[in-house]
Amino acid sequence: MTSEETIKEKLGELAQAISPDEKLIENVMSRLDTKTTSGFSAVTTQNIWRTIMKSPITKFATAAAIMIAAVLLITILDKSAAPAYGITDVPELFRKARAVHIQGWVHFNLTDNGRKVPKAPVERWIDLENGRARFTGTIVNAGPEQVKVTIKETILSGQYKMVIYHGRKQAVFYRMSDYQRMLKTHDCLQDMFGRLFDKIEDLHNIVKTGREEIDGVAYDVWTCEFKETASDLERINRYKYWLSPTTGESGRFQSWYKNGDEPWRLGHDYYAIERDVEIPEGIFAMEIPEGYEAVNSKDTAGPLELNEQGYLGKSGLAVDARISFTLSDGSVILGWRGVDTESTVSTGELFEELKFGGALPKLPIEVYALKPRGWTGNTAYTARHLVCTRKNDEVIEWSLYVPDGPRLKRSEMFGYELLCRINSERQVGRWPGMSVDHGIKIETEEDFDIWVRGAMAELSDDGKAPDEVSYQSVLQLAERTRESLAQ
Amino acid sequence: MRTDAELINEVLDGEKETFAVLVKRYERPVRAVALDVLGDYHSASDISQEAFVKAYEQLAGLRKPEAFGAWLMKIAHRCALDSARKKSREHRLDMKAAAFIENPDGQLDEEKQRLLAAVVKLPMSEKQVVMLRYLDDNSVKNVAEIVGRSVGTVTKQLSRAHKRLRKILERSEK
Repeated sequence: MTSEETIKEKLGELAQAISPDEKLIENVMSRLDTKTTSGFSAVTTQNIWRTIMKSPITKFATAAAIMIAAVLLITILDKSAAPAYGITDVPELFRKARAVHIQGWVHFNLTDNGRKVPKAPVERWIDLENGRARFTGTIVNAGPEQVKVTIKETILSGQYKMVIYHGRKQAVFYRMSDYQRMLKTHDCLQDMFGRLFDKIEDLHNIVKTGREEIDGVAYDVWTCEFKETASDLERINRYKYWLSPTTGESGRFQSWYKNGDEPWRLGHDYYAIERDVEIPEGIFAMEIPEGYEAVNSKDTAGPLELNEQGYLGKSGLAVDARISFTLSDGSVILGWRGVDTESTVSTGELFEELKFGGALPKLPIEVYALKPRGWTGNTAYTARHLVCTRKNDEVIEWSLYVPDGPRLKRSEMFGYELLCRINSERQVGRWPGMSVDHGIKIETEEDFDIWVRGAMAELSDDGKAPDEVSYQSVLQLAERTRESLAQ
Repeated sequence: MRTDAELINEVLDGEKETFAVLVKRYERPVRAVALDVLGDYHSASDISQEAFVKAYEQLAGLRKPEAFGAWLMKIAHRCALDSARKKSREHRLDMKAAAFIENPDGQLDEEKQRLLAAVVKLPMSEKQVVMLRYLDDNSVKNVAEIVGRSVGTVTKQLSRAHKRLRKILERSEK
């Protein structure tokens, strides 16, 4: 006879036999990076780029960023008007800015139980001099009948990040390093202005379409239209940018879009685009609004890890992609780990004989090449080892990936697919797809030192980047690799 | 202890990271369900991942968030069956045998396998509380909070489950 106590005891023993699997949580959450819940499109300011590519709503938001980016870099000018400030002057004006403020609205083409969803406010304060930012994000949960839009605000200042969720009246703190704060502040500006800078190469038809007055100031109105590329949507975007020819000030920006034969719809409407504006006192103060619950405090805030690109594991093997950069010649640097999560054997010795420019370490799983995501051509990116860094008993491999074909525009692809090789006896089956985004554009030696060497230092126990890696040495290696691939 | 329903609302509110709490809460029960069907640890772990991802994708369609655990385990069971069907019977048997031999801890002997099979056969409401109570090591009070039932109800369900398990095991021993 089996007593109830025996049953309990046996259940306890069964529980012991099925031990917790912490990696499973990581693996699942990593896979969710590219997913949204069915019928809903969740849009957050975190990881916005990946979300942008998945959701029609956020593609629309992207249009806003593209428009500004387009306006900033378009090269076609109406020479006949010979203005003091033309559209091509705008990028430099923003580059020199100490602070930027943007305010406006995002419109939704959605109905909630038959009623139109109201527009939501958009606001960003970016203190470029001191690396601080405060920005809003909209969280859109759109089902077939119900739609819920809530706002959250993120503040980056000093060693902390604070997120205020206005929907559920909560605030959460995170600790961050100087590098991470700089990175997030950069992303904050890029999300608005620059993430798709290369996209403007598709916008060859921007023209001055008129002149309008806003609050007594005359602005030239610049307009362009373009189709989405690398998209299955038949979407046309129209951007309008109001620019003062006498002062170079921006008066307004609107993005519109049109799907097929549908009418034009307004997406973003920014009525304030200000450079070098005086930042109001207290804008970066991390104060919990009255009536809001603090989930934690600065003292108990957990650290943010430098892990910008995601983690994917399967059957005891995992790729941990930390950060990526695209260099001026189109080659890519990726900081990553390839680990056997169930092995206790150190992979340290695999890094001992490696040479700068040589083969990658034979890690249990190896990112041996990259492929442009969303690009139908045959271009592949061949890998070369740069250096490795060690932090908290983890070894991070820094690899250079050099394209074997012409340099692709950012607008022609959505980042890079990781091609992985398994150097382990584990039976893994088909390795799931994983991709990383373009990362920060590295155009100069200064960019390289700040961002690439900065990331290497961030992921080193001693806080220093290896001496042998410099902008020049990496570009020269890329050139040599290209030559060998051409032979 | 936040209820499943609260956590699900938060996930649907756009807080993807909250889903990790649900994964942590149910990873062992889900793996147990998959393990019962597939018989090997790696496959069970892979299928558990699939089940969680599928659940996340279908979360908006879940009409009763308080029934998340039971619903999730059904998904895991379906995923495991689909996976099992794809493998040949011989292959599956080989894998089962290999799992017993190769597993470093040598767990899941015949007796445990029988018990697990019995747990999986329990009615859904009882299976959920048994899994949360034993596999996830929650107190009865915590289980009650997670599933949104009273402590009394959970206690009764556990008691009924113990009796049912006893009968199933006694039958299988004969």
